[in-house]
Amino acid sequence: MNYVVGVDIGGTFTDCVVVDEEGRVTIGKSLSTPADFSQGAMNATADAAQNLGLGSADELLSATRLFFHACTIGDNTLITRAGAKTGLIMTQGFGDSLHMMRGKIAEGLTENEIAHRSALDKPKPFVPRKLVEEVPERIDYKGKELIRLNVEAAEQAIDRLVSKGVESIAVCFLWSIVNDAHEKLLAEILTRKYPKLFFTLSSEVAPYLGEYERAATTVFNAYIGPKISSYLQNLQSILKSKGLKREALIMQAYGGVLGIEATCKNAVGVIESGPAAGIVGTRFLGEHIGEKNILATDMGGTTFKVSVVRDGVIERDYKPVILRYSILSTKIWVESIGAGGGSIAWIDPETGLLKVGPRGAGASPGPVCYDLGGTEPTVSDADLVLGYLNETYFLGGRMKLNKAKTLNAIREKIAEPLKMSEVEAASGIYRIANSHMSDLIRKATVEKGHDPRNFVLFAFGGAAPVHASRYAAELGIRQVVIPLTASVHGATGLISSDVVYEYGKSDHVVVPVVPARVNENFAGLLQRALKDLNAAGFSETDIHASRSVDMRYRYQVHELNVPFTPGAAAITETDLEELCARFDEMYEKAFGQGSGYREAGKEILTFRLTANGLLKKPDIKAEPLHESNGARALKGEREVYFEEERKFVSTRVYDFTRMDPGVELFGPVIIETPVTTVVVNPRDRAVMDQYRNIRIHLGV
Amino acid sequence: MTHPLRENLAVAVVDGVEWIHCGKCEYRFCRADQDWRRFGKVRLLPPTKAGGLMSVLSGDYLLRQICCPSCAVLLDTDFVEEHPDDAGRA
Amino acid sequence: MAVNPIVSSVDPITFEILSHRLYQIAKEMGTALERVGGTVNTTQMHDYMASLYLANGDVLSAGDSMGWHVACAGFAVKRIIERFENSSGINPDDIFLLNDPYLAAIHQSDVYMISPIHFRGKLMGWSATFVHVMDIGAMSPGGNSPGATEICHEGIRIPGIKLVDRGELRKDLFDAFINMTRQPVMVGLDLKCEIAANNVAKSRMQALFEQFGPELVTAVSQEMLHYSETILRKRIAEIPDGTWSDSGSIQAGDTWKVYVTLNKKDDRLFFDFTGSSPQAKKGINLPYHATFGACYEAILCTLAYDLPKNHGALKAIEVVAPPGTVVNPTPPAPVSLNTTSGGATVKFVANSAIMQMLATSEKWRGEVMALNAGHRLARHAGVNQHGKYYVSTLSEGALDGTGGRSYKDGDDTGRGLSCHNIEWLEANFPLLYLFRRNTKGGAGAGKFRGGTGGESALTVHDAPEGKIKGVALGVAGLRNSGQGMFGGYPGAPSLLMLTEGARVEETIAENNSPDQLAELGGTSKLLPYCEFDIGKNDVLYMRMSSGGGYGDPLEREPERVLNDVEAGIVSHEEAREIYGVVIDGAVPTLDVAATQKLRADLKRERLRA
Repeated sequence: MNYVVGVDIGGTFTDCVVVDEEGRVTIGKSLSTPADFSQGAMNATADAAQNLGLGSADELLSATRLFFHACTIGDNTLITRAGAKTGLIMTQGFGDSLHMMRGKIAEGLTENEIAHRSALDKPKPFVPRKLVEEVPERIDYKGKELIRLNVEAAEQAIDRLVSKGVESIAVCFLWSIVNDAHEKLLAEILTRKYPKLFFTLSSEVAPYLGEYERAATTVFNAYIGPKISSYLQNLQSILKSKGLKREALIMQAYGGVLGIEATCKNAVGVIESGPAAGIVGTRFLGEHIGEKNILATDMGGTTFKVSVVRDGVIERDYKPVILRYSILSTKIWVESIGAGGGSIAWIDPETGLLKVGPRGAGASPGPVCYDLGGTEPTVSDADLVLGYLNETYFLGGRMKLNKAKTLNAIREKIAEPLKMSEVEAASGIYRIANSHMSDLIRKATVEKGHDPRNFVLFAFGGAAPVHASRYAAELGIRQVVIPLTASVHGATGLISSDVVYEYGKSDHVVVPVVPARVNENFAGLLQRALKDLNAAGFSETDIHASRSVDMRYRYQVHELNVPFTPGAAAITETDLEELCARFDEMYEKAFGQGSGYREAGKEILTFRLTANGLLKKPDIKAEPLHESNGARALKGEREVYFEEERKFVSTRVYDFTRMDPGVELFGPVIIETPVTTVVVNPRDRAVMDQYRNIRIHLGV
Repeated sequence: MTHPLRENLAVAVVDGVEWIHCGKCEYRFCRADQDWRRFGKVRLLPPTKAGGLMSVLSGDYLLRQICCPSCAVLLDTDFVEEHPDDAGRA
Repeated sequence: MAVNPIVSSVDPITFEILSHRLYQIAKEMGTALERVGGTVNTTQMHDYMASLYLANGDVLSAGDSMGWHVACAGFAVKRIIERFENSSGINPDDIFLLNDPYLAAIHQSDVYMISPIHFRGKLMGWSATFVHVMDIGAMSPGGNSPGATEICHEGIRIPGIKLVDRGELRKDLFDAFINMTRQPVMVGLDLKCEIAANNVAKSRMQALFEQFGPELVTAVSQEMLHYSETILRKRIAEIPDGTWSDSGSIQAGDTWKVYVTLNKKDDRLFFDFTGSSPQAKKGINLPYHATFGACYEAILCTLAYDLPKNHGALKAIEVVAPPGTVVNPTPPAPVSLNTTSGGATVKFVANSAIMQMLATSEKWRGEVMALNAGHRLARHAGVNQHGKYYVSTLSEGALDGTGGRSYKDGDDTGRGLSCHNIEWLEANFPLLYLFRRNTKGGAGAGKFRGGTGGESALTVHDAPEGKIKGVALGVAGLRNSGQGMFGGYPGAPSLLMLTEGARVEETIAENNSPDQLAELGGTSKLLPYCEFDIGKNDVLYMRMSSGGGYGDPLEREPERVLNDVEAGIVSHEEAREIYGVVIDGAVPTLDVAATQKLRADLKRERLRA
């Protein structure tokens, strides 16, 4: 056997997806184990092995061709501030750059938080100011050395940091992106004096312009690096002992995987890699069903997340904000708000207005209906009152919901104060939550220059299928997809990933530019790519490189990433003209006709090369479609509230597990799956496709 | 009615009259409709007493501090324009 | 418990949904401005405004725009209605341009675009934007003219023109406008981004009318104004009645005074600026609507930070400013320097009065923070290392420290805007930074200290002409950079200093970092509002303002002082003399007993005659 295995560690559960040679998918699940996440990973693998009918994880792993893994350890280390005690070395005169944060106190905060002036604070730094050392040295913007690195001062600075107990050192000198000699020299000194000390150079981890963001990235890497390394090395030795032959592949935040060694060098790349796995899975599913423009929405207990696939390409963020620090490490672009099934509905005592969120009930006590001690009505409670959720069949019957308690809470906390019925109150909560989510999707897509009407919407997470048709309709979207693998989509994404290396070079060039300079930049990047991918076991035929540049109209701050036509051929004048035309076109698409002021001229800031080591993708099996009205899957009927009727309507309820590809259902209909509930509204039509995804066509 | 006036000063009604008093030691400054500053302990200092970088103010301004005459808690610190009479007192 | 909803004519759920949507639309306009905008002011400093209005010109939704601008913008739309409704008309897809500071703008650089929103042929409302354009054809590059003595020196001034006529851009007017500026390309980009933003507003509002019906949207809009007004009035009413005052000075060669008295009675606030100096023949004067806006903003940031920004919140405020004064000038008084002079001073005194008022309320005293009257800033212009002429602004102002608060310290270098990376600046302009760091000893002392501001120094590097031109701007008053609150000390003042003939090249050639100004020699002078040159071995030093402290420094927890000493923000000496905290040793250690004794001594000293 030749399995492909993906293990995705989430906040609560660790998921395992296994695909065999025939394309059959098997799922394993286990609770996550924060004390040592590798334990949960092995438990989930063992669970999958058992579901496959294998005796043990060892049996599965020794027959495994590829093992993919996504971990949250980077995020956890940052959030719990459990990383290495880290020191920072910067250019003399500029040691406060990280702490100054370019004055951007508000980045990463919500609008409400920003508006409250007296409460604003900078985030607590990951390197206290007393662990920052300045060293005399200076390079200018051209890369010319102005002041040589003072070796003696550098040695003393390192000694001081070590004497203060630092376990890891970040180095960020001005202009090391055009001349890394001083950082390299410092690395030599560090290695010579303290060979075991972990350190990170800014020119290696984030070779991009901007000393604040580069320092922040370097510090994050130095801070989590030692922990990531020891976790991954330990995991690898466990996997090896259980029979896995090849190095595990680790998900990166930009949506590709890297080997363990490469991941350890660039630990910052694993931060927020969990959601990245999910969106890779979205694209993979999209490819199967022929959808290239996808808004992936994930509505769980407390957060609602949106990400975008456009023309089959995942939208990326080249300057993401992580825990309120801007960093220069590419990640898949995700926008989120505090809205989910657990969002609390409340009445503002001052104004008497009904509000939903941003505060959530969390996993414990959770919504009132869970009957775990929650007293504040939530979105899920409204869903229950409106009949969308089944009190006796929640999570496939694994949990009973307390409807009487829920009704009481909604009556007491919302309906009575607003002088409305429980149902009106619940409907209000439902509508406000949907409206906020559609506003977020709108904001997220518009800021990226997309029109949501050109997308299909995927609904992930336990709560999304109850709401998705509503927030999608509000945006003029025509189709909602609830994927079969919605509950394990992170793991699904893992197994469909390539090995992907990202390379970039800052080079500020005003257009027109001579092709030689462009080719020289890309040649350098390509050389590194081939070296890395060859080392990872890929031959040239399995390597796919794509080139792009970050470009903008001159005097503008916002950039667009513009791809060259695929291929590795030398770039010509014509290619550059095409590139400029593509930029103009993308720009107008993003900002409206006439918005581009071409007379301003254009400039290129960063050259980027993405190199994929192509892996053989598992082939998910398509099943034959048989037209049917789904009678075999009909479970019964129940009263469900629909806005357009303004009343409860007797509604058919279907069992997802008994539906077959080709089943077509006309709303209003409820489809219950073992992990979620799909609401099909009146005038909408749901179809189960050849991969057992539910496709809801809105307003048809 | 009692309410704060500012850090370490409060307004309270005693025998039907609103008084301003020290929030630390209860020292009674004056009636609420009077300017409490005139009843505090005032001193004038060279600007650099607030730090070396204040030297640019020397010659034009003085650092005026007002504290409670009883417990010495500092109630107000500000730069005031330098005046020959005040300078003599500093 | 039953609550009495403020909103009565529409159901609270529809209100919640639509008010959120209207806020999002105004924000979406801002997004369009930021993304298309050309200037640093728009894209980095967020010095722009984008909002929606009712058909009568009342502000409906101002998104995230600064309160100051929102109030001014309320005047702009009304001036356009007055001017055009009876002349060339207000037609669908028109866009009007206005930048006359005597009508609505703060100074000419703020160029407004104002566009009616029609639905089924009927005027339903307005959208408006402004951006601070990089040049406006004034005496000095960049629009702030220190030499101007009357408004005609300060560039183009337009009381209202129809730039887009029924959807058709009037290229003749567009070209005429940008032709009068030094940076036609960049200003053109700014104007285009405003057009784009107004178009966003129009299409989104029309979709909203389509979806919910124009009657419902209008009803919710009215309710939103009512909502903000009612809540703000309720909050004001809860504060004890009283009167508070303060004064400030505008220093720019001469000194002008600004006096304010705030009277709070029931649910109303009266600001009275009577007694302020007569208007100046220097561009420090602040037009009335901007004075009003400064008062509005002081309230918006404190009592109303969580309320929708709209016309309703304006109604509880009354502002009296005598005509012919620096706070309500009449033509031809110049205004181009006012944002950082008259404006900063008015904001400062208005805020000071509001803070004193809030301190009297148990419920609101948490909002009190020491104030910051702003900073000096510098523009620079010349030929860059790529051979192009440029005008730009050094955005160091984002590195102000904020004031101490009633329960915590101010923030170091954290004003909320964004300052450029040095690498970005050095890549684009012929500059070499010598340092950029926290100002040592700058933070105003207090029980909760102010945040320290940043300090930077730069010289020219690879300048084809060997030098560049600078324009010194910003708040020139040394006194009010960061005022202390309730016993807290003032923060160190912001200043600009030019050192000529410093040993920069020599120091670098010796492989030493030129990061200690005192060691570089040369002759130094503080820069008032002026133009100046930066050549080889000249150093421009910029110190941003540090926040003032809050409360008595002798009440500060000694451990906090120790942290500040370790971080290099407070010296050992200042720890002793100002905070009464004794810290010894190579590894800084707190001497608790000595601290207690010293603090008692310092208190006795305060009472000594």
